[in-house]
This record gives sequence, C-alpha cells and structure tokens, in this order.
Amino acid sequence: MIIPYTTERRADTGMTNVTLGMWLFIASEVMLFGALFSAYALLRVSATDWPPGRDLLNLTIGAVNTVVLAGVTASAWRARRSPGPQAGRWLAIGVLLALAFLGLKGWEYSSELGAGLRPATSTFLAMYFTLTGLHALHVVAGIIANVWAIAGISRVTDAMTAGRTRSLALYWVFVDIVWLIIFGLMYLL
Amino acid sequence: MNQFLPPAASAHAESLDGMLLHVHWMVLGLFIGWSVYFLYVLLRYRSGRHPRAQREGTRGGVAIFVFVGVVVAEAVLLIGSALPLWFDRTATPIPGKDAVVIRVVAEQFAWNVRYPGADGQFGETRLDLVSSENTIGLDRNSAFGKDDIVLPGDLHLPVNRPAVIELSSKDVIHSFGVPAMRVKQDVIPGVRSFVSFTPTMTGEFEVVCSQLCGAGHYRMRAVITVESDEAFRTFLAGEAARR
Amino acid sequence: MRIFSTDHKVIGLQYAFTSLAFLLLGFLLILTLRLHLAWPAQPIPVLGALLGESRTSGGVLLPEFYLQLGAMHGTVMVFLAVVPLAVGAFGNYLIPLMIGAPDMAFPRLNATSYWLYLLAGLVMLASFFLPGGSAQSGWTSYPPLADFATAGQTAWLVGMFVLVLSSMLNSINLIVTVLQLRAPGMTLMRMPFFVWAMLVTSFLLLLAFPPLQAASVLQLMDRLAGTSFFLPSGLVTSGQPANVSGGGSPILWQHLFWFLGHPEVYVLILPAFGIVAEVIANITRKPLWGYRAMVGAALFMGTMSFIVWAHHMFLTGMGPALSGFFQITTMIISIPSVVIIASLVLSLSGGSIRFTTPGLFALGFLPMFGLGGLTGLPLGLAATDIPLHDTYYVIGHFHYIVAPGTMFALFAGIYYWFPKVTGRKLNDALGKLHFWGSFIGMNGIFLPMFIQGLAGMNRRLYDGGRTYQTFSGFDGSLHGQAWSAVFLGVVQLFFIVNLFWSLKKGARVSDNPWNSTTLEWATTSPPPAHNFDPALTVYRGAYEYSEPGAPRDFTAQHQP
Ligand code: HEA
Ligand code: HEA
Ligand code: CUA
Ligand SMILES: [Cu+2]
Repeated sequence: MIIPYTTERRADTGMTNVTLGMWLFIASEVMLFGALFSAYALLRVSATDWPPGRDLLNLTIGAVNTVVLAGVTASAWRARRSPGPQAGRWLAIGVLLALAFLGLKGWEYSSELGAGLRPATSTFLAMYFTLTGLHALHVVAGIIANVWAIAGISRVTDAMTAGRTRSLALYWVFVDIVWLIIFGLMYLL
Repeated sequence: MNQFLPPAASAHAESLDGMLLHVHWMVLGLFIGWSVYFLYVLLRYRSGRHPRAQREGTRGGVAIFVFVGVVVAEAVLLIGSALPLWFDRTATPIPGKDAVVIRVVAEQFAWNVRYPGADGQFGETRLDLVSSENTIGLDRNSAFGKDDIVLPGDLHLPVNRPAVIELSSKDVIHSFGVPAMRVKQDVIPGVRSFVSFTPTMTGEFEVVCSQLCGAGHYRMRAVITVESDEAFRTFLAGEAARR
Repeated sequence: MRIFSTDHKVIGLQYAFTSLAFLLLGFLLILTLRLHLAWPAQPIPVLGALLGESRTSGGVLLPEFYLQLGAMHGTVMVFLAVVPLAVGAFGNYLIPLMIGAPDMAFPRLNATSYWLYLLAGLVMLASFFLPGGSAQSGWTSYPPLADFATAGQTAWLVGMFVLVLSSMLNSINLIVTVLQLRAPGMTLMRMPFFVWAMLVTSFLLLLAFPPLQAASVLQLMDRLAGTSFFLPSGLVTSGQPANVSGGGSPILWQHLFWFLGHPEVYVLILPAFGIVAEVIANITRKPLWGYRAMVGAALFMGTMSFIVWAHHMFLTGMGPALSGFFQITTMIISIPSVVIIASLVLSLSGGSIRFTTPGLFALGFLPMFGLGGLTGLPLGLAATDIPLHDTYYVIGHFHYIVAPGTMFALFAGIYYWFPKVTGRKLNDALGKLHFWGSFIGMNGIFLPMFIQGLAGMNRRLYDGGRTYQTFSGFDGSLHGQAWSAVFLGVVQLFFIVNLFWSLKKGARVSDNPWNSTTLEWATTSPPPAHNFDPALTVYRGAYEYSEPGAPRDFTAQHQP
C-alpha cells in the first residue's frame, strides 16, 4: 500500500510524514526533559546544600564525552547530506562514536559507584544518575535507529533512506543539546 | 441549602457559607435556564412537529448575551468575593495577645496535639528522641520543653478566641480538615503550614483527615472540644498537674 | 482478520474491544467498592469468598483492598478504558475515513502503540496478584505514601511508563495523519469537528504525558534506587527515622502529576465533544451552529489547559499570588467549554430532531456535562474549595463529566458508527432501554454525592465515613447508591447482548444509513482495505444538511 507523502513533501505543510513525525517526537521529548529540568531547578532551589558538580564528578570524562557526542551529531549531519552507501558509512561512524560515549559513561559510572557515590547518597547524585541514565537510554535508542537505517539502505528506496537520515540528524541534534544542558547543570554549575 | 452543610462553628463560616451559597445559586440558575431552553427546543423542533430543518437556525443574539452574562458573573464573583476571602484565610496570622497557639503533628494515623504549657513557648523536638512514648521527639531538657503538653487526638480550644494551629507531619501527607470550622489544610512532611480560625460555638467538633494517608486514613480522627475560657484554663492546669 | 494487522480499522477494533473489557473491569471494581460502602461490616455475598483471605476478612473487604479498588478503578477507567476507547478506537478507526485517507501515516507504528497499550494493561492487571496487591495510593499516587507502598506501586509506575510511550506514538501518528493525509479539497476548516477535537486531544497527549513519564521515572528511582526525590528530610516511618538522604519535595510530584492531570481531563472530554457534535448535526439535519467558534474554543481550551493544573493543589499552602493566578486561569478555561456546549445546544434550535439511539445518548450528554462542568466552578474558587476539597463533591463533579458525560458520548458513537463497522445496525429497542436505564442508574449514584460532599463527607473512606459523627445519616443514600450501581450494571447487559447479537444477526443497512454528509459514509460498510477506491475529492464543508434547492436533505462532502 502507498501512504501519500511518505517521501515527497506535501505542498501545504511543506513536510514529509517522517519529518513532521520526528518534530512532534522531539516536541514530546522536550516536555519530558523539560519536566526533569524543572524538577532539578525546584529541588536545587529548596536544597540546603548543593555540591558543585566538579567536586564529585569527573569533569575530564564529561568534557571528552561532550566532544564525542558532538562527533555523533556531526556524522549524522554528514550522513544526511550523502547519497545511499556513503550515508551508511557516516551512520556507522556515528554508531561507533555513540558506543564510545556509552563506554566512557559506563567507566565514569563505575568509578563513581566504586567511590561510594550512589543515587541514594544525595539529591545531587540522584538527579545526576537519573538525568544521565535517561540520556544514555536515548543514545542507545539512537544507536538502534542508526543500525536500522544502515540495514535499510540496500532494501528501501534512496528517497526513503534520505528521509530516515534527515530524521536521524534531527534526533541526534536533540540528544546532543540535552547532553549539553546536562553537562552544564551537573558538571559546571 | 444551608441545611446540607455541617454546623457553622467559626467566625468566618458565615461569609464562606454565603459565598458557597452565592456560587451555587449562580450555577443552579445557569443549569435551570439552560435546561428549560434545552427541553423547549427538543419539544419545539422534534421531527414530528418540525419535519424540515431550517438551515439557518438561531441568530447569535441570545447566545452572546448568555456568554457575556456568565463571564461577567464569574468575574464579579471571583474578584468581588473569592479572592479577598481566600487571602483572609491564607494570610500568615499575627497571633494577637489573646490568640491560642497550638501545634499539631500528624502521623499515620493520629493527630498529636501539643500545647506550649505555662511558659507559652514550644520546646525543641529532635528526630533521634522519637519513640513510642515520645511520639513527636520532644526534648524535655530544652529551654521551653519542660512544660509542654502532648495529647493524641484531644484538642481543646477556648470559645471566641482566635486559634492558630501550626501543622506538620512525620511521615506522609495528611490534611487537617474541620468541617464545622470550615477549615482544611494539607499537612505535608517537610513543610510547615497552619490554619487559623475563631471558634464561636462550644461543643465537640471532629477533625477529619482529608488526604489519603494509608490503610487507616478512614479512622484518623480527632476531636476539638471548644469550651469557655475558664474551662480551657482548668483543662490545661489539670493536664499540667498530671505530668 | 489478522491479529498483527497494520490496518487502522483492525487496530481500531482491537483498541475498542480491549478498552471495553477494561471499562467492564473498572466498573466491577467500583461496584464491589460501592457494595462495601453501603454495608461495610457485612460480607459481600459470593464475591467476598472469591476474593480470598488476602483481600477480605471473612468476606468483608480489608482497608488495603478497598484502597486498591479505588486507585485501580481511577487508573483503569482513565488510562486503560476511556482514553484508549476514545482516542485509540474511535480515533484510529474514524480519522483516516473522515479525512479520506487510505490508512494512518505510520501503520506499523500504529500497531506498536496498540501492543504497548495491551502490555501496559496487562502489567496493571497482573499487579493485583503481587504480594500486597496492586497500587493503593489513589490514582494520583502522591508520595511519600506511594514511595513507601507495596510492590503494586512499582507495577503501576512501569505500566504508566509503557502507556505513555504507547499514547505518544499514537498521538504522533494521529497528528501526522490529520495534517498530511487529508484528501484533496479537505481543508482544515472543512474537517468534521470530531477530527479537530482529536487533533487537539492528540497534542495534549503528546505534550502533557511526558511530564508524568518523567515523574514516574523519579518515583521509580525513589522506590528502587533509594533516592529521595519526593522525600523531605526528617521523616519518621513506623516509629523509626527513615533511612533516606532526604532533601526532596512531596509537592514536586503533585506539580508534575497535575501538569499532566489537568490536560488529561480535556483528553477525556474533547473526543466526547467531537462525537456528540457529529451525532447532533446528523439528528438535527442542519449544520452545526458556530462551527468556527467551536474549533477556536477547542484550540483555546487545549492551550489553556497547560496553565490551570494547580487548582488541584489549592490546599497545599500555595502563596496568594500563585493561587490567584490559578483561580483566574481556571475561570477562563471554563469559557471554551461553555462556548462548545452552548453551540451544541443552540444547534438544536431550528432543527428537525430525530430521537435515534445515538441521538438520545448525545442529547443526554449535554445536561449531564453541564452539571459536571458547572460544579467545577465552586471548586475552582479557592475559598469555596476549602470545604469541598477531597469530598464526594469532587467525585460528583468529575463523574458527571466522565460517566454520564464522556461515557454517554462514547455509547452514542458506538451506536452511530456500528453500521459502518459491521454493515448492521444495533437494535433500537435495546439501545433505548440501555440509555434510559443508564441515565437513571448514573444519576442515582452521582446526584447524592453533591449533598454528601456539601456535608463534608470525604472520599476514599473505607467505612463510608461512619467513623465520624459529622457524616452520619447517609446510610439511606449509601444504600440507594449501591442499588443504583447494581441496577446500572444490569442495564449494561442490554448493551452487551445487543452488541454481540447484532454483530451476527443485526438488521442489514445501507452504506449510509443515517443519511450523513461526512466521508466515512462514502465507502462501503465495512470499508475495504485502504478505504476508498477510487480516492475521493472533497468539495464542501462537513455539515451541508438541508441545503435549500438540494434534492435531499443532505449533501455529502465528496459530492461535486
Ligand atoms: C473530563 C474531565 C473534566 C473536565 C472537563 C473538568 C472540567 C472542570 N474542572 Fe474538574 N476535575 C476532573 C475532571 C474534569 N474536570 C477530575 C478527574 C478531578 C479530580 C481529580 C482527583 O482529585 O482525583 C477534577 C477536579 C477539579 C478541581 C479540584 C477540586 C479539588 O480537588 O478540590 C477543580 C478546581 O478548580 C476543577 C475545576 C474544573 C473546572 C472549572 C472545569 C471547567 O472546565 C468546566 C467548564 C464547564 C462548564 C462551566 C459547563 C458549561 C455548560 C453550561 C453552562 C450549560 C449546560 C446546561 C444544559 C445543556 C442544560 N476540577
Ligand atoms: C474516566 C474516568 C472514570 C469513569 C468513567 C468512572 C466511572 C464510574 N465511577 Fe469513578 N473514579 C474515577 C474515574 C472514573 N470513574 C477516578 C479518577 C476516581 C478517583 C480514584 C481515586 O480516588 O484515586 C474515581 C473514583 C470513584 C469513586 C470514589 C471512590 C472513593 O473515593 O473511595 C466512586 C464511588 O462511587 C466511583 C464510582 C464510579 C461509577 C459508579 C462509575 C460508573 O459510571 C461506571 C459505569 C461503567 C459501566 C456501567 C460499565 C459499562 C461496561 C460496558 C459497556 C462493557 C461492555 C463490554 C464489552 C462488550 C466487552 N468512582
Ligand atoms: Cu491522615 Cu488521611
Ligand atoms: Cu483540573
């Protein structure tokens, strides 16, 4: 069956179904993280003491991860601009970088847990583990989506792949922005 | 409608009941007005009586009139009486000389009532002193703690004197509701809140926990005994002597 | 019919049957509760024994189980019955048909959202069999109580998380479908009001549910990882200082919950407005009065619904400025409801009203919603909310909206579109008995609640308030309510029998038995895969009834 506007834009909305769907998804995610950031603000304002993040967390790993994640986003944008098989290559690079991000994050977690810093220790750490954990889940979801798009390249039309990479690029930008906010809130402020 | 309400036993009850009545008359008026119109059009325009529909239907006049009416009524009600009444109810009380200040500590499923004793000041409480005998963890050695009186579920108030009740909770959220006094206030752990009112009737009135707080929520009851100033003093003196 | 189908009609029906089953469950839970409230010391016949000793003591409900019934009734009704029936079933089945589309924009995603919904439902159901039973801290799950509750609460949170995923996928799909897949000529202002209502509903689902998801993650962390998001310092539980880091805020949960909770109530009502509007245009044989105003009101209501949430929290000790703000927004948001209801009532004037079964339910909706909506006003003013908060008055307020309100609209929709789905009609006599019986039963249950509430009687009381002198004297009405609930249940048999009987034996009808104008009637009943062959073009608005000079009293949207 052919659903209209799967790959071509509809004149009056100027979008394909997939692009519009991705924007809506991001809107919903903004509300999700917006709620969490509001919770952060409320808890921090009412807290009696709030440790500076850099005293507890590993600022180096955090900074390196910021760069790595920017690399994922950049590769997603390269994929968006590349035709068929080349797109696949950039998406694959994105997967590797995202895995590196998760690896570093895991390392950081284990050293924190090793040092006795647990979610239950303080509200700061509770917030830290929740926000970064939820963000990491989004990275995992992005990896799965990248792999799915790579696998699809030989099976679906180029127009469909182009639609997918466009959405993925949007998605990774979002994941990156969320990370930047988390990095700012937890490591720097 | 007043006969549906619990007895009005506090100074502000009258104005609050008046407001309640007021809103309900408005609501009832709107409902009856619309119902009459609704039933009329149903009968007038049933297909048996009106086999061909008129495409145009009603002109805007009536409807717009009604909308504006509702909006104005709401605005008048809100600004005219609801907000001032609410501000009065929630203003932080400045206990005057004759005010009685009492603390109530809620826990699953009891109200611990605490009177300041002869010195008129509350002693300190400490978390590590909490036990089954000392439910609120009162420090008897603190400056004002010696003469404090703690009674579960038994609240006495003198009639016609403003009462300020400071509320706190040990465990979960409760709500200090006294239907006859027309007060209700959530009691949230970690938050200090209060209610203030002036009882105007002697007798016994019930405190109803008004926020789900667990399996015993339904029986989390206390009694307020409102009595003459004299009787209140006697009661306090008696309790102080019992210690 | 394939089980793992991606056809929106199949998925719509899957949603319909699953959510009707949950509707029945929600009712059985509350029927048990009502029986207990009437005779709290007496064993419930038969059922009491079936429930077993972990839930009853000698056939009398335990307080813990009573609270499970209440919490799960609210949860099941709101999240697993009414919303999936309104959005999942009616939305999925009808939206593509009404806008002339071959299917939903993302058919596979559509199937995924149904299966996620079913999964969430099963998790919730299974929680009844956990040690300690299901969630029992109210459908609002306020911490700290919910943080300390038994394992059922964890299941509730997980179920909620999955459910939000499902509704997010579903709402993305609906919005994209409406915006992208409209047939040529189907401009936005030619869309049936139902489609508009669903569009706004989907936006609410999309944007209001994620904060609940966030909140449920935080509460899960509190319960499983020992964090203190919602636990302040200095707690004492079962006589011991609680071993938590503290520093959290119980109020935070309430803000997050009601930020969802209030838009959620408009999710419960907007689809109902939509269905009632379709049916009323059809039974009056004239265009909707004020279609444009209604669309505007729906959009305005959707937007405003994000800034009224704290009217559920007046008594938490908010500052006067904040509560002043929320009182004003609450009064403002009642205006679009008035516009929509007034437009619907005024649409009747000048019509040629046919009292069909769907018509009766749609007409019954209007005054019942009116009663529920109007009693929202005393609650919306903080001063009058003091005596009414947490009493049966609140229960009465919203049940008038969701039970004889939304549920009547959903019934109207089922009677109205059944012929489209099956090619057969539901039996009219049984339908009318169902309507009048439900009307009497519902009012018998809910009307006394206003009086009980004014007298101060609290909700969620295991013994129906018999501990308190203040609420004594309601034995009579509590018995009446129990009998009304039993009666209401019996009357539903007319519906259930009718539904299954008519599937096989109902009178066959034409493709457009109600002489309706909208596109879903332009195809066969039931519609073929991909709905329209050939594709349609739309030439006119949704309600061209009784056009002067037209050969019949309706002109379909696809007629040139
Ligand atoms: C679909 C559901 C729905 C809808 C539409 C509404 C609509 C409204 N609600 Fe309600 N509400 C709930 C569901 C709903 N509510 C629920 C579930 C709760 C309790 C949750 C809990 O605590 O468990 C609640 C609780 C609740 C509270 C908190 C009470 C408390 O806990 O103390 C408040 C307070 O402001 C409130 C206000 C309102 C207002 C002002 C409206 C307005 O939008 C209403 C506007 C409508 C009108 C003004 C009617 C207009 C009609 C006419 C004028 C004509 C009709 C007549 C004829 C045709 C004859 N609601
Ligand atoms: C959409 C929401 C919704 C709906 C429709 C209902 C419907 C009903 N509700 Fe409920 N209710 C809530 C949402 C809802 N409720 C919520 C949120 C609460 C608060 C919970 C809390 O305290 O936390 C509540 C609480 C609540 C209480 C208060 C409990 C307490 O405080 O202790 C009561 C008491 O009477 C009650 C009664 C009823 C009744 C009698 C109905 C009836 O109208 C039900 C009618 C239903 C039927 C008659 C079923 C029909 C079935 C079919 C047609 C099935 C057909 C099936 C097939 C063909 C497979 N409800
Ligand atoms: Cu304490 Cu309810
Ligand atoms: Cu609300």
